[in-house]
Amino acid sequence: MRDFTLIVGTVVVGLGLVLVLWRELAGAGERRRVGPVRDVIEVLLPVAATLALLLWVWVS
Amino acid sequence: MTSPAVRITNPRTDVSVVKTYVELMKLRIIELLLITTLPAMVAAAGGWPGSWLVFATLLGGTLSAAGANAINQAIDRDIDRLMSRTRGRPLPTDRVSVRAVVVFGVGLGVAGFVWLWATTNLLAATLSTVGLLFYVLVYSLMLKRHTTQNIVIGGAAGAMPALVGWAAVTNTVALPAWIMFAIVFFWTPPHFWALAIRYHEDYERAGVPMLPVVVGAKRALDHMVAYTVVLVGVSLLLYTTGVVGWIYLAVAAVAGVAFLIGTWALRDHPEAAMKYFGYSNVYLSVVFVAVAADVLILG
Repeated sequence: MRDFTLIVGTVVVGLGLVLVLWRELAGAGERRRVGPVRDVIEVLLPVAATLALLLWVWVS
Repeated sequence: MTSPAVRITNPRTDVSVVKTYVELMKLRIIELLLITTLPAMVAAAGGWPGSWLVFATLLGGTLSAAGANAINQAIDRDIDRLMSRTRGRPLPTDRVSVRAVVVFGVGLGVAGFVWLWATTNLLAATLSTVGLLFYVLVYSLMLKRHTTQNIVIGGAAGAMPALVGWAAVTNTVALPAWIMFAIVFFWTPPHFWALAIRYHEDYERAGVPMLPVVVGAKRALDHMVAYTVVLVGVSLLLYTTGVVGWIYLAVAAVAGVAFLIGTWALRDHPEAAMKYFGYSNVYLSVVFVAVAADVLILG
């Protein structure tokens, strides 16, 4: 059951991250921001942190 | 001969002064932070962690969060005057000085650190203070007025109590604690964007680039759905660590699907944003209560 949940959880998180990236980056140009580099970092930082968390879950 | 000027003062009783300072602490928001701390402690201990440790940790967390809330109100006093939701706060209504609020906030923060260090451990005290500093320095000063990602990154401050609770018990921060952190982190954007949908005009007047203000409610709701999907997935992952059992899994799955349906439904009924906002509080509470209940029941 835990293995099954791991796979389902990973797929759902992955799907969600793809949706987040799609929505965030698609509208990046029209959003108010201090600078484009910072904006991308702000979007990618939580996504990268979540991927690292996923990796940790898998290897533990 | 002129009569001496009569100075009319606003009579401030001791009760009203205390009430003002209690208001600065925003204790209603802190309730929710504590709801995440206690279950994290129970999960870390694999049972009841002891009443004294619970009391000490919750008090320390309350002091840190109250300090952050007070300092934040000093930083945001200009925009709070412009927003109908916040213009009744102590600073916009001139019931207290900025200096007093900052001193009060810093004092609470220091007291929280010292208390947690003395009664729990240095790691818990440090994490709690990092949460305060992140809220004030990163969220309030760097992000809030400059980017639509303000509440996304800023959500890390609100998620810190899960780490504090775990650290207070184990003096470490293990994977389950980070997953609970992630649950609160990904719950934050849909929660606060619902508030921004309701108070759209307030945020616009104050120049705060909340996502629904910048891209509109309809497109912001697409983002809310995306973050809710991640939230549901992350909540399931806690079960895989072995610290919780089937009770948590069942509750997290059902509550998660219901929350996702609610977020999706809000796309057609953005006028129900505040109802959704309240429901999101219930969702987070239910998930974290399920953590504690699962550990205490299943052992």
